[in-house]
Amino acid sequence: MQIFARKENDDLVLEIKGRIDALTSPKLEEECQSRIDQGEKTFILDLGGVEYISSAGLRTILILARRLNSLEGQIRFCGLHGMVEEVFSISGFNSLFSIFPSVTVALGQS
Amino acid sequence: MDSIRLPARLESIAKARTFIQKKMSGRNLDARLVGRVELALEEALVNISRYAYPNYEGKVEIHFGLGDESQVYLEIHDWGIPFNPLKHERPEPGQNLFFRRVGGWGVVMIREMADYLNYARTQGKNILSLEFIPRETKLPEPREPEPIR
Repeated sequence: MQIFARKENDDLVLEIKGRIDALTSPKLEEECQSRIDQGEKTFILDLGGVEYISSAGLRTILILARRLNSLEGQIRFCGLHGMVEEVFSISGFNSLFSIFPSVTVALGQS
Repeated sequence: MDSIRLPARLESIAKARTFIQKKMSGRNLDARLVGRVELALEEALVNISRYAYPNYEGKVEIHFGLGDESQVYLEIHDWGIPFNPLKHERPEPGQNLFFRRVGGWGVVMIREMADYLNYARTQGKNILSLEFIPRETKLPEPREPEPIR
């Protein structure tokens, strides 16, 4: 799994590539926490390059969302496809979170 | 069925996955089917690594088989505390999802990914048998937008 971070005005875009599983999700959690520590409050997770996510990845996302919620921050998702979309749907995450077709659309929601 | 025996810990996921990936590669299997098998395997291994052996590190065995019509058979054996994932209550998706206990989705994923499941406890062993059948996953081709005249 690789994470590419960039700022778009006040939003932090995390472009994730590869697999979010039990072995890689701690790295994602660590990266997100360090960004929160740096003061980031609006996260856009671009999952366009993610082909696999397991419940360990869902857990990491939920932890991040709760932390942001307590800071009155926000999390948005884009680029969901294939299996990732299916896992979001099975878990109910698709109705819990704001999901957009692309980064551009997700950015326009600020 | 071919099998591999590994220590029941999270780090074994990579080896287990490589084992089944090698078995599935070159068999012209649908990527979606491969993904379902990998996900069910990971979720089962995570559960066993975390809960099956509270006092010591035990073993887990993975058996893999491929049917004539590209069905994938997976059997996961462990010698830990009895656990029947088929009897596990499904967490209710809903408004309180955000605040409820983090976790509990592993078993749901296994049940959703596999087409047939069976659990048996025999001779001190948990045996989870899963069967994956290729599903029609082909989506209609995206249509070209109509040209504007």
